[in-house]
Amino acid sequence: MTAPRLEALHFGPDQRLFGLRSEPLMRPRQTAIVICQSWGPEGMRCYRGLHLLAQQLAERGFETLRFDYTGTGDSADVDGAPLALWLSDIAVAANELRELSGASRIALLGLRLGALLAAQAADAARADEVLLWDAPEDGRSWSAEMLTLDRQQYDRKNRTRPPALRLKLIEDELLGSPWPADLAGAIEQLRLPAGAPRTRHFYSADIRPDRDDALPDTAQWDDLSRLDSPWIPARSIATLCERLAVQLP
Amino acid sequence: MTIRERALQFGPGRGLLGVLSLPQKVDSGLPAIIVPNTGFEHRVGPHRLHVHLCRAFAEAGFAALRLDLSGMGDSDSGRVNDAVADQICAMDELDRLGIASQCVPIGLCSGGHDAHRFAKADTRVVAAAFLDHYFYATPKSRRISLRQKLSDPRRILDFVKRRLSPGAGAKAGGGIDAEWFEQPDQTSFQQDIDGFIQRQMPLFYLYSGEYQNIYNYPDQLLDVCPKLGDYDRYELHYFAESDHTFSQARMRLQLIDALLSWLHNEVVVRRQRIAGGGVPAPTAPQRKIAAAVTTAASVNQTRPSSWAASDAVALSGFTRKLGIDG
Repeated sequence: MTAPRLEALHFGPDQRLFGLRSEPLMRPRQTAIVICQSWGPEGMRCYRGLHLLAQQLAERGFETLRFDYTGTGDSADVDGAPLALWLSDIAVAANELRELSGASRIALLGLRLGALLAAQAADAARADEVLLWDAPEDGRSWSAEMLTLDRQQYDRKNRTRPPALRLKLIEDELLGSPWPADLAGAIEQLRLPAGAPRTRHFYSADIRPDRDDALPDTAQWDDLSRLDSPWIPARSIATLCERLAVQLP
Repeated sequence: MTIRERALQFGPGRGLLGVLSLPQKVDSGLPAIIVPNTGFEHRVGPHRLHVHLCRAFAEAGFAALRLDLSGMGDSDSGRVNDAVADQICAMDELDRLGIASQCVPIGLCSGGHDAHRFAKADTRVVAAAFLDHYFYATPKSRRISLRQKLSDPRRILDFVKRRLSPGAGAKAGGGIDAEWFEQPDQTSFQQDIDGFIQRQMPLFYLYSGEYQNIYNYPDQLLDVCPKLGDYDRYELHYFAESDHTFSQARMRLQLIDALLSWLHNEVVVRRQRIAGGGVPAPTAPQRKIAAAVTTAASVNQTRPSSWAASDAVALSGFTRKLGIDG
């Protein structure tokens, strides 16, 4: 089968955002999907998986747009409060996709921190659906997990280094990405809106093993060794695509 | 200098994707920089290293492409594991667009392996930089490693724990995970370097301090490949305080400074000398051991204008810079 067309583009204020649009080969559905990725090493680990998710959603008729938040990935670096920019980026991406696709409905699909951001930006993005995959309870719990991984990472790296060469913690960096105090503080304040309308949750097998509808693959977000390899949950991606094809017009 | 960026989609079925950083005015007489993937990570590189590198190169006047090889990031050309063909394709595309007719691949880890093979295969590669790519232990590195282990109570304890519970937990340390690539044997590696030297390619090798049990002293590579020591167009750096992925901003800055300085000396200055009718740098080996990677003068000439002076980092005393012509 021919793969859906993938188009790289710059968009948004001063063309500062880098995005990738996956276009369906068949007649497109009414719903187009903005994919909101996570942050830092978690985002890197999931990148190829989200590429495959976008392409497979396009195979089922959903036009999608993935993008890098301001100051991350291939997007431009600009001054300003990162979290406020990222939330605004989601609304900008939703508008861009609405315009490019001509779709009448927009869904935001967020993974991990991207889920928290998507939930927060849903109104500004005028989203018709909010799809949350492994959404953390809140920003504080997600930050705590990242902080734990960061400390474990230092410990692991220093285990084989002589004392004079041991790496020292850097105050405003986390897992190798910038982590300024204003960003850390703003993320800690993020909450999932309780009982938000238009919201559907999806969970990896190990995140909510109690749920019958959990996706088949595990994620192991808190396992340091997993940061060294890509997360490509092929069965979960296929299941998610099947469900959305049934649930969304 | 203001830079601009554009995405390139090319190759079989337009299936290869890269992002090109361009200076305000492209000088097609300069080689372009090509940065292939590191490990599994897509074109932006670990901690956005490739983005920072490419933007710094563009500010210094070079076109720089960070590339997803097929099956990585956003590239799907239908080819599998043919990094050399993908890079040749990228060079063809840069040539077709009138951006450059020659290139300098720069690769970290598996990217260094891919850059090495690309450099062997394509004579349009006129210089190359390899970061933490191939590791060969030497008698001296084994002695140092053993001494390090015996002088560290924590590692002795770890060793005892591992012996008492076989199979529990992976062995700490080690080299690059073999799942990413298989390095050539030492004889093939030496032969490859001979080939690069015959082509008079400027070469840049850098090792971090991550794999202390394999690479642990500044000029170890010269003990592995003595011919390199007689060559006048190479640089060898040992960033003992860095880790393999340059995970802290100061490490990335240090690396960028070193690469910019090398490119400036080997490409820009050399071209100016030749254009001015001057004789290219003397060929007699000139060994310099510097306390810093880059001299203040070269940093000032090459540091992108957007970097604040306060970004300057006191560089490691463990670093040596060898064989740089004046």
